[in-house]
Amino acid sequence: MRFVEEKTAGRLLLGAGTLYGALNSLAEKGWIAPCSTQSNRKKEFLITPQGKAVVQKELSRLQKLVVLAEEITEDAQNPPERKERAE
Amino acid sequence: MNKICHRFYGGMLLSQEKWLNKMAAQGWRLIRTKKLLYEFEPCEPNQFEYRVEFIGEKSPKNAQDYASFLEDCGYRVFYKNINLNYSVGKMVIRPWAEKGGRISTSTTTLNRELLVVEKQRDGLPFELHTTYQDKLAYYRKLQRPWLYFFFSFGMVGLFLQHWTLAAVGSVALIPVLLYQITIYRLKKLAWQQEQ
Repeated sequence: MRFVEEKTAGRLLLGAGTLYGALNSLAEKGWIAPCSTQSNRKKEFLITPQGKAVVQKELSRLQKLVVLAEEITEDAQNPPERKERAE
Repeated sequence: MNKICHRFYGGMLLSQEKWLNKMAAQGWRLIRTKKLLYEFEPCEPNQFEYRVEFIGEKSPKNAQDYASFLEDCGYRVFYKNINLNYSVGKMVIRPWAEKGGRISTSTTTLNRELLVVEKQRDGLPFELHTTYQDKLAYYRKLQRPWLYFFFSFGMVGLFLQHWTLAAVGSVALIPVLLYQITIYRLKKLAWQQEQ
């Protein structure tokens, strides 16, 4: 929770109840799997290969979105000159 | 010297939370709970803060798992009852609960419907549910038992023309409406933030 808060400069605050629900949801989808040992009661998870593939897919989607946004803003700043129709 | 208070808040979760935080502001830290009893020990004023969470819909395993998770996060948790029930060996059917929690007995989740969560104040906000999606799910979870109460008593009372039963059932509409207002406000806030 502290990690998320620090990395997002306080933009995203993650409550324990919300985090618990999110972890259970990710585990149900098979994107993470518990890795706690008997001696360690603490809830610990590891990302699964399926989870890694989903992260990669989401990362790629976000990168495409950034490229598209940059293209649009560049076009808005430097509009192409209008070509006069030759009579 | 410890302080013992006797209170019963029933389903008034917010009132219970406010009172516990008021006690903490006066320098009293919760150390024990029973059906009607709260025991406090002296501490620095405002050293701790409290949240009260409804977990009555959880299965015994999930309730224990959630409480352990909160403890792992550094919080202290206390179980608390939402009803006053002194019977032994009682079994309650909770159709609104999740799978595994629909039959509650005095050895499982009966009289352990609430969690009082304590956090040492560190200047950071203390919220257990932080996203709109999660908050909405939580308030719907709180609303569901009251809806069932209304339908099982209010509607049956109307059908049988048993007006006392109908009146008892209709009382459940008050929390249903109050939670619905909260849900509506949260939805509005979520929508405004999206714009």
